[in-house]
Amino acid sequence: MKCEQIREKSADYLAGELDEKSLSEVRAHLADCPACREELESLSAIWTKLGVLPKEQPSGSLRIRFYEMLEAYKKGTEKDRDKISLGQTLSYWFGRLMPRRPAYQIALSLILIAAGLGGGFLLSVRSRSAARTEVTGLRGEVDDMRRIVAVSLLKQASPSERLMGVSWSARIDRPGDEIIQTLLETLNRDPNVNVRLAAVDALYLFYDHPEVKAGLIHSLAGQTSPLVQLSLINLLVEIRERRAVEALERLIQDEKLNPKVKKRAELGLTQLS
Amino acid sequence: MKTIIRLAGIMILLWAAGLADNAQESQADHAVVSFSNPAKPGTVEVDISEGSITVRGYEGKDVVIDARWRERVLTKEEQEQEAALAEGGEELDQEELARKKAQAEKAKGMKTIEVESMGLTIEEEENVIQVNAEEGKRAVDVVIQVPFSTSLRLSCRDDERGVTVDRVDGEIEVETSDGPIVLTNVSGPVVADSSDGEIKAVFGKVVPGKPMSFSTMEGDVDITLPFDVKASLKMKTDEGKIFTDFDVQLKPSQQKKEEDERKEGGGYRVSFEKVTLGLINGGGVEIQITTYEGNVYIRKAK
Amino acid sequence: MEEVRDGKVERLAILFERHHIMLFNFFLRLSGNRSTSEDLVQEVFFRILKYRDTYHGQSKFIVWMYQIARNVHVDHLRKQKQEVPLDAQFEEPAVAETPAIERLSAEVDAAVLKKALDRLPLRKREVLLLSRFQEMKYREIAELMGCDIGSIKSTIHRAIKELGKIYFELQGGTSP
Repeated sequence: MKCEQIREKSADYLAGELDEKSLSEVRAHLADCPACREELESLSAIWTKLGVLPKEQPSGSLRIRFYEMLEAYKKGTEKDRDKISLGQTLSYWFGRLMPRRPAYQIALSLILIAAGLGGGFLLSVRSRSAARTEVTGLRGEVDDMRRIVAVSLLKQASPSERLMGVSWSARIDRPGDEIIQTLLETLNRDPNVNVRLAAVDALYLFYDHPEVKAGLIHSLAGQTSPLVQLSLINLLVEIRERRAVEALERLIQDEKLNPKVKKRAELGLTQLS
Repeated sequence: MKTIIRLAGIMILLWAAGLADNAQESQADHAVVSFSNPAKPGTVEVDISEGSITVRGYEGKDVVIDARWRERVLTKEEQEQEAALAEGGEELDQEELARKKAQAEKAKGMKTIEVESMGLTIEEEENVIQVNAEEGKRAVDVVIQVPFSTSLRLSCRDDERGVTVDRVDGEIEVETSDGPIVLTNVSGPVVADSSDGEIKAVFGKVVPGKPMSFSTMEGDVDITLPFDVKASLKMKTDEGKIFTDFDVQLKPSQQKKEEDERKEGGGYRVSFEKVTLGLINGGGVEIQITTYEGNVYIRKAK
Repeated sequence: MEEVRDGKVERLAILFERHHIMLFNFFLRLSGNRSTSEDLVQEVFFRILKYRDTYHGQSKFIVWMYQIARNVHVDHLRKQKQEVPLDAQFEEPAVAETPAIERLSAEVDAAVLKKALDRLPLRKREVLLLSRFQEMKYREIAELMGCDIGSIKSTIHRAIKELGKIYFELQGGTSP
């Protein structure tokens, strides 16, 4: 192998992309050629140094801005479809869907024709049925996105971001088990009282899920913050959850219980029975 | 090919032992610590079980820590116990009295050697500076100067003096048990919780986007916001009142969902606890406030 | 990515979580400015959303993403060029004032290396960043830059050689 070929191979050598055969050829040449050896050594020294340059972390606002953009984008399209107002964005958006989703095609062409005529009447007629199904489908997509955002935010180290995660969860129309579980976990495990308080409020929105009711009752025993205890009691009384009676009775037995919480729990018992 | 390097965290142990022979004077300690990457806003975490925390922003890159150890003070619990004993021991139950007595018997003829608390531990790792006071019997007042953009996580569990922060723009997380929380000239998202203390926060400006939350069982929450702030408030108080000089636009409670209303036929689901939702200047940063007995004050900065 | 293109834009969140830190570092090494880099990352994801229909499954998503990233960067330079000389934009201070002894040498080293990197001509810098930090194969870089793999390999070779030269010059300048 010649010095020139070594130079050609050096990039692959550094990236570790050389096969066995080429590697041994390169090594054989290096053994005999001090110039190439020196050059390749200094190249790898730099290459290695580059490898240990620290990876920088962007600030938290980057993530927030991204999700805001995504949300705005979604909302924009959702609103447009709701109103069946045919701005450029919308036809662009539909244009994207057309070739891939034949099911939409008839409805979409109708809209596009209507847009071409500039007639509002035709629009309002068709908007009733077709639009409704589209909006339903879209709501599912929006939900999907919110789910991803919420779960990712709830895992952040900053309590403010976790609060944001809770409020994203609260915006989901049909939360899946994942969201319910994540919220219950936040309620039980989050180190910050404020985040737990927010979780109680969010779970209230989903109380018709059987898991939520059970989870709330279960959580009562584990809470240490009087404010969170009060919030939970208020909620359980509010939704007339009779199965909470037992948990409240047990709570009252706790000697360390804050007297105000005790008072509220006792009142709650009379309200529930 | 990973490009992460993990440099070993440096641990600086200071003030190995506070010596017993100058117990008459309170001891002061001083340390200057740098962030490993001063170009990036760092985080300072302080966790002390007894004492107070004061943090001020300043035009510098390092974190300057001063700590003053107070005289041996009885903990609140001990004080209560003493008071109870003075009143004839009614507050202590029989079991506990018997235990105390047995302990005293055991140590008969011997004297107590006070185990001194061993000072603060300061650690820096990946731009986070942690300041911890060991669990001990002496209270410590910690005063820290930080670069303006620093984020803070402060926890002070047992004292009347609480936490004070001035001129810090980073994110602030505070919790106290008894002590008040006083924040002035702050802007970042604040998440504050106190069991019994008052929470007071004066915002120079409010960084949009990130939500804030304040909660206290017994104390008031008193917040001053810039006149042009855009905020969405969610306020809950069981026995307190809400005061404001802002023009707050009240919103019907979000807690009610349309479907719920239909299902319930407009029965008792009128309000969940005592939630007040209000918008300032059309709404914006989410601010959640929860108190039990305390009042809520939302002030317009003059 | 196909799912993003087909309208499930929330899938973009997954792509964002996966790639935004790498992308941020790519821009940071190119521009030296943190907030600019964040803006540029945001712009990349905006354009992905906007032009998602132009993505075709043949090439890897990451190749397509860096094509957009390079365009975003070029547009940024065009806007900036007249106003500020590139050197003045660099905000990262070289070294901490009182670093601990243990990390002193590593940190100085990294700072000098970053400085050297900044002096490398744009194209060489890009190729080097993509191969060394963005875990891209030479073949992918070639596809992304629209040239053949041989020229990428020789660019790598020349770039490292030049970087080494600048690096040692800088070191000679700082430590007598």
